[in-house]
Amino acid sequence: MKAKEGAVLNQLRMDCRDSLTAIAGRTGIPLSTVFKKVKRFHEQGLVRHVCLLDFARLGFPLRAGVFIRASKKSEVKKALASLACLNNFYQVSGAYDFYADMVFKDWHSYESLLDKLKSMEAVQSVRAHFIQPVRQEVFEI
Amino acid sequence: MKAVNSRDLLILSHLRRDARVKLTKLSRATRIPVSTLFDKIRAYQVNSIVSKNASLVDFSKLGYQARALVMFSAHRHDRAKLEQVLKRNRNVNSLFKVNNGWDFTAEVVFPGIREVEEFVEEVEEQVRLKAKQVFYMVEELKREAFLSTPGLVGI
Repeated sequence: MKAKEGAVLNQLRMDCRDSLTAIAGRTGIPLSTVFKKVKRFHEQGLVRHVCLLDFARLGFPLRAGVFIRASKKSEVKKALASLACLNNFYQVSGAYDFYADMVFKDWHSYESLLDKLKSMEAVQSVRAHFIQPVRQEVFEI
Repeated sequence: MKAVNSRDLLILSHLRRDARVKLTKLSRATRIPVSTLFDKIRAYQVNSIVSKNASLVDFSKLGYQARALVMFSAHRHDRAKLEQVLKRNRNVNSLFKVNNGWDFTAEVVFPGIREVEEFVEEVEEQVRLKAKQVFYMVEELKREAFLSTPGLVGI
């Protein structure tokens, strides 16, 4: 990646609601170039712009990182992917097959979901931790 | 700070789907006046409901082929130092405090697996760890998906 592209991308990583004019001003790159680069990022499927939320302030105080070992990965993948409480979901290597970052409004919802997971035939084991963000999406290109 | 209502959740779900959405487009989708949206979006940031508006990147397309979740557990007196070491490392993309016998989970981004291993060794050289565990991300199935579907904000 060229330095200019990296500079634009890093500005978007810091605050993607910034105007292209502001990004051009901060990076010293002409506005037309910034416009072309951002357009290209989209065409390449390189970026997705999201607002990161403090879920607790929205009434979802419990956030859990759940590791799952599955005997039938496709079954577990399909079952989890449709859950409304799912935030991040990865297939991982190592002692577990999946890692799911999930958000809950109360203890009951959390326990119900864990019980549901543990009762699935395709699930061999589950390990859950409560997680609290310290910092997110800070890696600079 | 006022409690958030279903209208706020609707706005936030649109911003979760595309944080660069224009206010005029958002106004059409939500039937909320642009001026109200402007005030509300500003208030979300002031009240720290929105912690950051960030572009999520497909790191593999940029040559970073190794992404991993690394869990660390340190002795009680070393936890603050561990946090500082992890915060200082430029390859730690996201950092979470965790419980259940662990202290932190670091989501790291590196060009290859060798660099991930070197990172873990570097942390170990600086902090006395009780335990560590590495999970390489094989496939990203969902990312920042919670509250990103405007039709499901009633959950």
